[in-house]
Amino acid sequence: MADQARFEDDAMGFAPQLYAAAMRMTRNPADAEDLVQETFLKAYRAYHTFTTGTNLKAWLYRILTNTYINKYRKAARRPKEVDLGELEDLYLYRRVSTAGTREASKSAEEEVLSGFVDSDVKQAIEALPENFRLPVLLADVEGFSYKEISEIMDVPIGTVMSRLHRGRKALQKALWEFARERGLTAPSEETDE
Amino acid sequence: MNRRTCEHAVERIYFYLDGEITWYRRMRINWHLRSCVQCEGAFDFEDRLRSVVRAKSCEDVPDELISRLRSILREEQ
Repeated sequence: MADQARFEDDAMGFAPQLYAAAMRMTRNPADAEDLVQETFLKAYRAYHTFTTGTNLKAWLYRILTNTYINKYRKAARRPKEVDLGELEDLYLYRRVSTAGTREASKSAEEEVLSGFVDSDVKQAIEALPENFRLPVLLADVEGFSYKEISEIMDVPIGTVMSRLHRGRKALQKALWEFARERGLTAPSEETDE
Repeated sequence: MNRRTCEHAVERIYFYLDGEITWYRRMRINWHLRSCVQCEGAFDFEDRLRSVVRAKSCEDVPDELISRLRSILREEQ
């Protein structure tokens, strides 16, 4: 049982991360602030049910995610379960890596990776359909394990894995579009040299 | 460079990078990566890509939000 008087000290350190996640979920600052505020209020009121010594970060994300889903799914009436279609594995790597030595390829890869700006990555995440965006956000940005994500989102672990894998490919496809737009990639020449 | 070994490694790339793989499988993949430049390149790329995604999706939390959170919590007490 956690002591409610300690909530502010225990939880406030997670506010910046929760806000960043809320931004990716709601896609705008005003809604993100509301979402974090509501999350903190709910978490505070329920803090006596939190078992001290267990994973506070995961507990807070569970509240954040539930609040987001309840609030915004209600607004959208029905969640859109979008299918991403089939994308190949290593979507970005296959397009960015070059034949030849590992060193040469690595520098071409680095040029693309370091050429991405924050807004490319943020927009690529935000463009993912919700059922794929949440697992990608929780795993790749927040570093949660499959089991933690399954508990946060309340979906089976197998569903987490398949959405995560497909979501990552879609994220890579979106990043590839940015790389092309910004001219970060060499024009694809199929000529043999 | 055995095609099937490469396929196996690539199929498990995310389990490997996510740390969701048994010790035994991890060792087998490590063994493969030491002898296969293509797979090593792919694993290395995915790992670096993830660091980029993490580093470039931060937000500056508004100070105003933090102080609002503190005052909301104080009102609740």
